[in-house]
Amino acid sequence: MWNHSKSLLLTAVWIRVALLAWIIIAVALPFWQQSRAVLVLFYFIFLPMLLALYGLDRLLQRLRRGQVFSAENLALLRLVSWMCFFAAVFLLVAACLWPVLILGAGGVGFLGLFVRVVKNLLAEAIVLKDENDLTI
Amino acid sequence: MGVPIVVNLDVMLAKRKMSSGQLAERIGITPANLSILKNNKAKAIRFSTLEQICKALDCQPADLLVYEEEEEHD
Repeated sequence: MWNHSKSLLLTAVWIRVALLAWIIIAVALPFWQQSRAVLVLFYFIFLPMLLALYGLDRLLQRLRRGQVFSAENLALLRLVSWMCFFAAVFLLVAACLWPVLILGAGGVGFLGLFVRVVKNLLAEAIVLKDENDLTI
Repeated sequence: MGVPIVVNLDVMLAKRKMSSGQLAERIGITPANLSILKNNKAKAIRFSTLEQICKALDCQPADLLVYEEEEEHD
């Protein structure tokens, strides 16, 4: 039967696969992409995205341990959103060369905003939980 | 920083010669929660809890709760 913990596990597996794929692409890219501009752009985006994926991975591990309403999770969500914004800025700069990257910048920027809203939501939830836990 | 309402539960417990454990058992809350209340770590108290404590200690809410003005910091 499908249940909550299996869903968490599936998400965790997807994140690990994405992390692995991202690292493999980073290692393999110079072998099949000779354009220096593409390589520079990729490695500028590589680090923020790697950190964002790492943040998501850590967050998922914490959720699986049942640590939902904690300040560490807030910090991880903040990290993910800022890394998305950084990647969006790099893509925006690169869009001067390849205008189609504007779409990517918009997508990643929207993702960053979305994660930020989720972060604000969690912050409010933590306050409510705290209040509830300390109501006797 | 904290809430300026102080819970004087230990004073009332001493007057009634009752231990925290006994009170917790009588009003049906965990000793850990009662300790939060006693140590003024609580953010709120339910009317039902207050009612139970007043009943168990035969006192009024005013005997338990005191408002202490916070010191102003410039």
